[in-house]
Amino acid sequence: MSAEASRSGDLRRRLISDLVQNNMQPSRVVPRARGREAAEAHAHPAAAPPARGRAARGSLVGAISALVASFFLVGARAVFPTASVFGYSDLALTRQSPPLAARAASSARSPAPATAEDWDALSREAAGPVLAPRHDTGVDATQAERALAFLSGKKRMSLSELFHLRVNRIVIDPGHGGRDPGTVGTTLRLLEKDITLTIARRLRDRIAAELRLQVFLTRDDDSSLGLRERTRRANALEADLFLSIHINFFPNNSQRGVETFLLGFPTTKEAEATAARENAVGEGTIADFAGLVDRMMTTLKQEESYTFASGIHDHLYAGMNGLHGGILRDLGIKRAPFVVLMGAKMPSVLTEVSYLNDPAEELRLADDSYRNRIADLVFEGVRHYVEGRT
Amino acid sequence: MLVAQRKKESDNILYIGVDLGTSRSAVSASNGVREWERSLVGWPKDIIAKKFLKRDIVFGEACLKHRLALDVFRPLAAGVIKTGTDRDEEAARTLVKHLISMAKPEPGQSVYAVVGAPAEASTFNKQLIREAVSDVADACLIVSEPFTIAYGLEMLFNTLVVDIGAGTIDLCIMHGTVPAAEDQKTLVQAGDFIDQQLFEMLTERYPSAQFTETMVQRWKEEHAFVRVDGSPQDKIIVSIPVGGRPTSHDITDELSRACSAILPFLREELRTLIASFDPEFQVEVRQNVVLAGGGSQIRGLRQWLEADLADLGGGHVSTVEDPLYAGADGALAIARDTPADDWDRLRTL
Ligand SMILES: Nc1ncnc2c1ncn2[C@@H]1O[C@H](COP(=O)(O)OP(=O)(O)OP(=O)(O)O)[C@@H](O)[C@H]1O
Ligand SMILES: [Mg+2]
Ligand SMILES: [Zn+2]
Repeated sequence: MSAEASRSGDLRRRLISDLVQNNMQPSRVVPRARGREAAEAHAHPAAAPPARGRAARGSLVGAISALVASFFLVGARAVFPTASVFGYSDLALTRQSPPLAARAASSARSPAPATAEDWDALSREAAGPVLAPRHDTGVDATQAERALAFLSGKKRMSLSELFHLRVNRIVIDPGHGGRDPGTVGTTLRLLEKDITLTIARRLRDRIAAELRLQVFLTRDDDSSLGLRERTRRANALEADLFLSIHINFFPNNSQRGVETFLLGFPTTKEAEATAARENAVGEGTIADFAGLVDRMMTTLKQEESYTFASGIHDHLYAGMNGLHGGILRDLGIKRAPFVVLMGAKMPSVLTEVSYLNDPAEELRLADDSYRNRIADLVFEGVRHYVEGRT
Repeated sequence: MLVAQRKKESDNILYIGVDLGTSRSAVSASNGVREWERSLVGWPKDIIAKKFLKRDIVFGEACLKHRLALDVFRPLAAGVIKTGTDRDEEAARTLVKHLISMAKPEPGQSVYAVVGAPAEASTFNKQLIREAVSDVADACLIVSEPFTIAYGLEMLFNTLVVDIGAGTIDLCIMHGTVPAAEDQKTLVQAGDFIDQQLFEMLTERYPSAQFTETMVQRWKEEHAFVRVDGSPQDKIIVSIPVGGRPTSHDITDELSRACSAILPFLREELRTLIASFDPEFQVEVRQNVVLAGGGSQIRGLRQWLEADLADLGGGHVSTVEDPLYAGADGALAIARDTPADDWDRLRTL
């Protein structure tokens, strides 16, 4: 109790000293100045070619838009003169590797950029055109038919099936780091940030060597990194997958288990009904059209996130439960709102691979070979997902 | 118990905490003074008004009473100092000085003030406040507003503070650091917004009734509520003159709708901020949501928000004991906890 009290005393002293510091440097007083606008401006380097316009939102939007456009054409109730009005019909559905990809692919493992400048340079490069111009016939009939089937809800298929998505590039995010230790073990005082980094590195090495994908870590050392910055990096690289690694701390001390999250507010019946209503395809207007594209993007991201999450979670849980003699709880895959996933434009998952509230588990986690075993389980999940996409 | 309360205060220092609000500002000082004032400044319109009022300047509630004889300024509208005209700036400066003087410093006393300013306040605003304070105090520390509340409550970790004021609702998450821009969020749908909604709804429903914005605000402050599932609600009847004759009007439905008008905005922002915590901490944050500010007194609001957190896995929402002084008390706590050397350094600024 008294330890608690003195800790809070320390905290208050630190806070006050920061406040005084802020007030001593009036230019830093303004939270606004380093606020959202500043961050946002930073997130879109001026070097990004302005001409790309809407296509800059990424190849997925382009691809979906092309299909939706084709739907309006084939569906013969086109309220729009031609799909090319939207500039989408000339977009290919395949993704062309940016120059960076070609270069990095020649070495088995892509080096993770070390500094913020490296990241910026990379993101500028990666922001190059990724959409190849399509030959003049526009969207072909089978694709259009499939799109129609999908949109009319007649055929259940995942959007990724529809688009034959491939995974080329994956960003792994070791949770926490630097000033932010994450959770702390109760006996050995192990820090979440260190454990996640070991696991992420091992994961990166195996993915690069065995799956031959480009892998990037959001951080490869003990640096502090904001939550938004993590997804910003993944977006800048136009990664196809984002995986954030964490270690849990269950408030209920005796609880042990693994759980995996994807972004989203838990849906209620009502919300579902609304969504269903909203998603029904009817006579289109331009606003509907834009909305439809957005919803398809979201659906795609969600579906893929779920598939990705299941791949990881199933392997992780089965493996971890085996290692623990069958006593682990399967806490399952959950939807929860996380900023670290919110900004991501690609399917993204956060997984809590272990837990620090249990001294026995903390002891295991002290050992690098145990961390590597966890990484290997996650790797199997990634492999499962990636191979299902090729 | 606050660290500072153990510190001896025999030295000749007066610590003051000030909460600058759109509608009301409060002062809490180490000599026991606790006062609030409406954030209004009025100057007599002409020489006659001045003679009548026997004053060069009028503050607070009195501005409403004598509003016909005064040019009234609400210098902190929208949560920050209006900087449109010299008069606005002058009003802000005068108000800040007036608030400090309400703490009644004794001659020879060193006055150290902590001023809670809206998170949104610009550098310019802060400079203005700093200058105004420096005329009447020896040193001042400007702190963003919801933080003062969190500090006063000693809720510095995994806490979400929601300050429901007149001009703005300020949300702030605490994770053991001085909040940065991304930890704070301001909504402009707050008390004034409810007043506007209610005024419009009542105008529509009772076109012949005669009422003013002040009356509407008073009804709100007396009866404000949001409906929570299953709770019965008495009818709210107020007397409004029609053709000069006091007549009973039922405003239950309008009041509930007007108060509920802020809910979608609040809910959205609350969820986004909760989401900014890491998974390990979200459970705890949901258990630590605190409502402050005048608007926290809306009946049923706490329960509504708590019920709304159910689908995220449940949560606990509490309300500060003293919504009027939570900000000023927190600012005072900071003033007392700031070490003497730091005050010395601030003095020379
Ligand atoms: N009992 C009550 N029920 C509902 N609302 C109330 C009640 N009492 C006061 N209010 C409202 O609370 C608001 C004032 O709260 P508060 O004093 O915290 O605001 P402020 O600090 O002046 O504003 P801001 O924080 O936006 O600068 C006004 O809109 C007022 O009408
Ligand atoms: Mg206030
Ligand atoms: Zn974590």
